[in-house]
Amino acid sequence: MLTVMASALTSAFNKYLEMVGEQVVFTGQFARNIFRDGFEWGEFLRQCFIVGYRSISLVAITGFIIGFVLTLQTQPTLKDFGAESYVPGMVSISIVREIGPVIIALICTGKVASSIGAELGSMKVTEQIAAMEVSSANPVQYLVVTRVLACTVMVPLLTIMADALALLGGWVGVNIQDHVSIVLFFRKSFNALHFSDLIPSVIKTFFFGYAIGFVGCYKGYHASRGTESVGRAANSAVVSASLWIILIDAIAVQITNLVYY
Amino acid sequence: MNDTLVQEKARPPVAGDDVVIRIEHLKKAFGDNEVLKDISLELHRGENIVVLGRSGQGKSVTIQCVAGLLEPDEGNLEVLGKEVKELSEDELKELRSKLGFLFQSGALYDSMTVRENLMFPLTRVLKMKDEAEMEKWVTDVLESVGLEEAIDKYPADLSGGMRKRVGLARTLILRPEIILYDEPTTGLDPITSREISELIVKLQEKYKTSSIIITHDMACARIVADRIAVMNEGAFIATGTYDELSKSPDELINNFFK
Amino acid sequence: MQQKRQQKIKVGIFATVTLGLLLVGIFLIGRNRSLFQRTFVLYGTFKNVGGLQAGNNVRFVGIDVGTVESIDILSDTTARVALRIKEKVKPFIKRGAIAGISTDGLMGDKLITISSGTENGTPVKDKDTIRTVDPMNYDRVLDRLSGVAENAEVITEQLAGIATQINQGKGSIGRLLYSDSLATSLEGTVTEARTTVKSIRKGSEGFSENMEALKHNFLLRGYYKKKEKAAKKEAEEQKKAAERGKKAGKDSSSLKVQKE
Repeated sequence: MLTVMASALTSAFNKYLEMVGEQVVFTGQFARNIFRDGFEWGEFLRQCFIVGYRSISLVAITGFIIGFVLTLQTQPTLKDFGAESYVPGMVSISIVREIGPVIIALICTGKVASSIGAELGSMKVTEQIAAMEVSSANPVQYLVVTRVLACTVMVPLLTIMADALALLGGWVGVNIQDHVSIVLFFRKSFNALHFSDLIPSVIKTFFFGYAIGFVGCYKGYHASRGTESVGRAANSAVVSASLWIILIDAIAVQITNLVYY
Repeated sequence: MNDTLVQEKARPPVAGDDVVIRIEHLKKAFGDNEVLKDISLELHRGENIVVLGRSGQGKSVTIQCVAGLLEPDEGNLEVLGKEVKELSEDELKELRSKLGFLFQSGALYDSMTVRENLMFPLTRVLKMKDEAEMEKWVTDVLESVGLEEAIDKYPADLSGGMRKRVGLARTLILRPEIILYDEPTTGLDPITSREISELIVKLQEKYKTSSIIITHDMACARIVADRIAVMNEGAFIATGTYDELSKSPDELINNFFK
Repeated sequence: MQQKRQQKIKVGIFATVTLGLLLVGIFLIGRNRSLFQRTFVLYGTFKNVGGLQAGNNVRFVGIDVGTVESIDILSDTTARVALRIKEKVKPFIKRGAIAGISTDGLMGDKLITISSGTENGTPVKDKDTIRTVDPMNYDRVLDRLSGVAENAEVITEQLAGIATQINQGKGSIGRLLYSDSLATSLEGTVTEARTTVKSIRKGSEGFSENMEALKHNFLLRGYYKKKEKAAKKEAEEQKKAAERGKKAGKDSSSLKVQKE
């Protein structure tokens, strides 16, 4: 019984090590192909369009509602303390530092990482990736570099947009019960913000974007044969990318605290 | 099987020394599963070899090793006079551009039109820039496979046979010296199958290519084969022309020709 | 190709807009930190900065005019605070100005307030040091409080001694409590006291109203609104009552007429 468990454990551990190794190799391939001649600008722009432009409405709605709800939730409590004037500052700090980047990254994981995982997974299964390799076109350069970079660039932009809309949502939320001018609300919001709130959180969204693109590509690129592995690639891309984002966030908090305080 | 409608190939195999692919004692295993046990084969210039065998005997693995998609565990593999495992990455790249591979599914890039599919290897491998010249190459090769009208369609809008033809066109556009076909007629109706088979012969004559064709479609084998190699359990058990093998007393081989 | 061009344009618009938002955000934050304006520096030394931090606001006649740039320790009893202040207000801050540390609102953000000094001197220059007043030192307050507590202990001890003496009927207070003759005259006093208490209560009602107003300090508007509403309601009720009265009057008058 024990030996069975032990062997199961070791095989699971070996599988894990194999995956980590594969990811390291894949990272190396990705890095080498970024600077190789013949960067695929066309495909990069197409991916930016798909990842960024096509996600605008989803991210905009999410951002607006986060700000709106957060305001409605905190307003009564702060009112009890007689600190209602702290609502804009609280909303802006929590949105810009934490909620905006993380929620938007998770939303993008659901939308982008899954679609990249499924797309590359099906290309793998239908031998399109092998076809590129065999014709000595470079599939990593064409498929992986463009997607990962597009995510790395687009997710921060989406987050900035969502942050702005979340503040707008916060303003709308306040105005359900009271009347606060938009100028006053935004002035109060930005009074509470420091560069140490904005800059680290913008930097961390680049890593979120990279994680989304990289995990999506890795899972799709290493899908096994068979149609059901496409679904599995998409699913595990979402799961692992979400986990990565939470981990990166935890690390980012530590680093921010080290640097600024 | 002596159907006179299908004209059998009568060309004798090109003799002797002009070998483009030489496989010697190739071995490949996936974990404990020994797929290729001992494979040896020679492909001569201008020759079509059909590899016959039941599913799961290692036919695909053999040509994937030749194409460099898989790395053999043991044995020698010589393509166009070069030992594959001794090549650097760049040399391998150059070698691959002389090697065409037609995948079972056609493996067209879903996100691109037929034109973009065909231009893809031109811009990436041959580094062509001139739009007009590329356009000429594309229409030229599409004409060879008889699909000029599909140039602006997406792969999803094409039938299985058309996809195979476009895949073939994409393989041909780099003017390869060797083409590896992975089950070119599987999943097609008999008429389309025969069209594809005849196309393979026609293109071979036009572009002077040598080919390894994997199939278990006997009608196809009869049309395209100069030589047939029968594979069983990771090794070749017989090679010969269609006629020779069809008269073989071995039951395993004979079963294919029934 | 047309489609690709459109995609490029859309991506371009998206990137421009979001980067614009980021720039606006950076500018707005930077404006608060006086990054994009001409500024000058004033120094002030304090014995105790009471938790002041770099980045806290600096106020002059109630207006935010800058931020605390840095706080350095000069010696074991003094800290020097550097204040970055907008160039625009320089002519208004005179040599005699005094910097103090105070607290902003209930939540207790510290800030520096610069108040004009008594003398009408010349305006300050860059890197001047201005006079300061130290904030109330809570440690010292606590020290004093503990002294108070010690005193209270002594007093209560003494009170206990007095109480036992009273219980024994000793002294004038003891006699007061334990003699019946005094009780009757006390009763009279009690009734008098009651009326006094009543008037005190009236006073305290007024006080509690004041308290109410105090509570609604930050929501003054809300409080007034409420009051207004109540007044309106009252007026309405009065009106209603009047109407009812009128009606009743009419009825009764008509009755009268019938009777007649």
